[in-house]
Amino acid sequence: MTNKSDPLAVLLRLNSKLGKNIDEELIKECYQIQKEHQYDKDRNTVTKIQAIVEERVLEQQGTDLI
Amino acid sequence: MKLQELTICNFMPYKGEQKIEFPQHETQNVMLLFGDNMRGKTSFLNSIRWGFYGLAVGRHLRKIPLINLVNSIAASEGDWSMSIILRFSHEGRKYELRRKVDKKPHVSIPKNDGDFEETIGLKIDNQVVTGDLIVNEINKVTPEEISRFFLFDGELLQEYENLLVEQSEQGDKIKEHIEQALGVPALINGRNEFTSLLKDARRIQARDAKNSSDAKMYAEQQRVNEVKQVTLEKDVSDLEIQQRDIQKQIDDIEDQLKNTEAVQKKKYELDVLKGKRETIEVQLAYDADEQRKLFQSSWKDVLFKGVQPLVTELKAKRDSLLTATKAKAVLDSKISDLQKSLDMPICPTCTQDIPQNEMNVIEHRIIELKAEAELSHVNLDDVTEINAQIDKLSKIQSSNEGRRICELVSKQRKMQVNIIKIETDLDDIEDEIRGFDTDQIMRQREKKSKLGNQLFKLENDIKETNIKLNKLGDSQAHISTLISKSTGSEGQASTIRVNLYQDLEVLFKTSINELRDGLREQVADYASHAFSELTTEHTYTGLEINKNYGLSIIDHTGNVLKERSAGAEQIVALSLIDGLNKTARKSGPIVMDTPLGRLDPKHRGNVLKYLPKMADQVILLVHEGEIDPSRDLSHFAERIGARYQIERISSTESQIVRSS
Repeated sequence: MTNKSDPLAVLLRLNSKLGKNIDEELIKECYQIQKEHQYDKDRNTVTKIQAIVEERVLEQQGTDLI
Repeated sequence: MKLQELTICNFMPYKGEQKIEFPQHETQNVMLLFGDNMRGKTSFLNSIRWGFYGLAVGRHLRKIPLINLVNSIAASEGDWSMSIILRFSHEGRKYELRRKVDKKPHVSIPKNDGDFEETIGLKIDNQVVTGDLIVNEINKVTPEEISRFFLFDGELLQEYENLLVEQSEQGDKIKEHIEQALGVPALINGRNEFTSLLKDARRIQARDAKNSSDAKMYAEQQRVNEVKQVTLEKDVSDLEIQQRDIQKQIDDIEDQLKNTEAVQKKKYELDVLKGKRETIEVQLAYDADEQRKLFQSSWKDVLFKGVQPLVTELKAKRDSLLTATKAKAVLDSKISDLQKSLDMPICPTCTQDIPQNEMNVIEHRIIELKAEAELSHVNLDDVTEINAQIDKLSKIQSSNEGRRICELVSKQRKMQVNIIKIETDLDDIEDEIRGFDTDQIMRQREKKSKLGNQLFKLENDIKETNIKLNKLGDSQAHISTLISKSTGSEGQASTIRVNLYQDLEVLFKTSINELRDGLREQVADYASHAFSELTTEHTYTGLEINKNYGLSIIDHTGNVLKERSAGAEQIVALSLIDGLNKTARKSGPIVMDTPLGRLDPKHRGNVLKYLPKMADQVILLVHEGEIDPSRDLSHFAERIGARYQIERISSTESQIVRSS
């Protein structure tokens, strides 16, 4: 898969191009969840995504979830 | 993924258990399954699809109900069970997938899918996988969304032409399937989930903002916007339900019309044949009239042959009499001249007396001439009589009535044979179209046209509502930013959360289009490469892809080829399939049903040489009209790993046998 047709590579490139400065690890984690479950019929990825983001929210607030 | 073995039991025309082993060799990777039309090639394809996904499809990718999948003979014998066992390997692991249905114990004769019980079992390296994980395991190996590009019906290849038509309903559906196969759903699902999470996050942010004097007003605006958003989203959802409903009605009518297309053609043939019969009948009536007229004067043709010599004879006799009459007149004139010399014996030239001896000669001569004249005497009444006879007999003239009557009889016989043939054809056609209401077909066409208009209106309404939703989204984003910047909100969890989701939503949303462009480029590259090997026209420079993944041929001048033959369409579609397959997955089999239907021998040769390179395993379901075993196998004989034949047992039962 080339850089242009690799979804993760596209996400990372555009993050930089759009100046979003989203943490690359967060993007990778979110994408990984979606990739693993993209063809699942009964996927429940929302809660997983929510959990990852909430962790970042707390981090940014200066408090760690753990 | 590599298919190893398929065991079919009571599936469609395959009664009882039938086992097929797939080729495992790296280069001898092609399996051929020959079968005539209606024998079960598509059913074989469906058996694999059903085994993997519990779904067998007909036209328009419609699900075939279970009751139509169970072998009808087995069912009539009370056996309503049907099963498929698929053995395959993937990334070094061995899989055994079993899917089985049977009628529920309390049901005597099943009427719908609900009357069946379905069981599915999966073993990976002999370890049993629990029920709820089976589907996910299968999707990891071979997602259903990709199946369109490795389990495909060649007769549906023409569907890909719709990709060239921007905003066509079918084109959009195929595009959606393509993007699912290419992995775009990871980003689309991500975007949708971030949109949903963002909505919740904004609600929490607005709730928090209510407590801030600075942001209170924004919170209220956000609340109003949220109400509007819910309403608009419900509107879109309702409109989409209506759209699907109307599209289904259109599909149903199209199916019906497709079925009646043959009836329409037959009806046309019927009218043409009736017209022909009428023309022949008119000709027969005209010829019968002509024959009657010929019979009226045909006696002349019969007598003519006898009368003709008589007329000739009479004419000769008359001519002889007339000649004799002329001769007598000459003799009489001579006698008269000589008589004058006797009466006045002086020479008219020298005025001397004619001597007696000369006078005796003249006298003697006159006697001779008179005797001669006596012999030439003609009775003019005889001539008149002969003339009268000639006149009468000359009225008997022939117009070849006999010959013409014979010709007419022969012509009539041929025309009557033609009429019998036509009437037989008419009976056959009438039998075929009996029961079809042609007026109903017209009404269905009108209905389809009206539904098409409704669909167009609905599509516009959805588009407009989505525009409103987007504007509302912009407004919500703007208000969120204002709240974020207001005193007390900065650094709050709700604001951080909104900002994160907002950024992630924008990122995923923007990436979808960027990814689509990249994927299209890659599909076009692979497809162009395949096309260059498949086409027989080497001046074409390649293929160009549009937003829908529709491919156009680029000619030697760099322009898009506007008119493409049916064969060219098929080559382009196969190239697209190859491009999609290579872009969507690293490896796996391809099962193609009737892929060569519209190709000429040269293209067929190219395709047969190329097909083994399209995948690790290539399973071709063909009839002998597509691949002639005595002629076409030479193109890829060294790549054939297994060959099977579908044999007819009865109209509803077939058997797959391995052939050498």
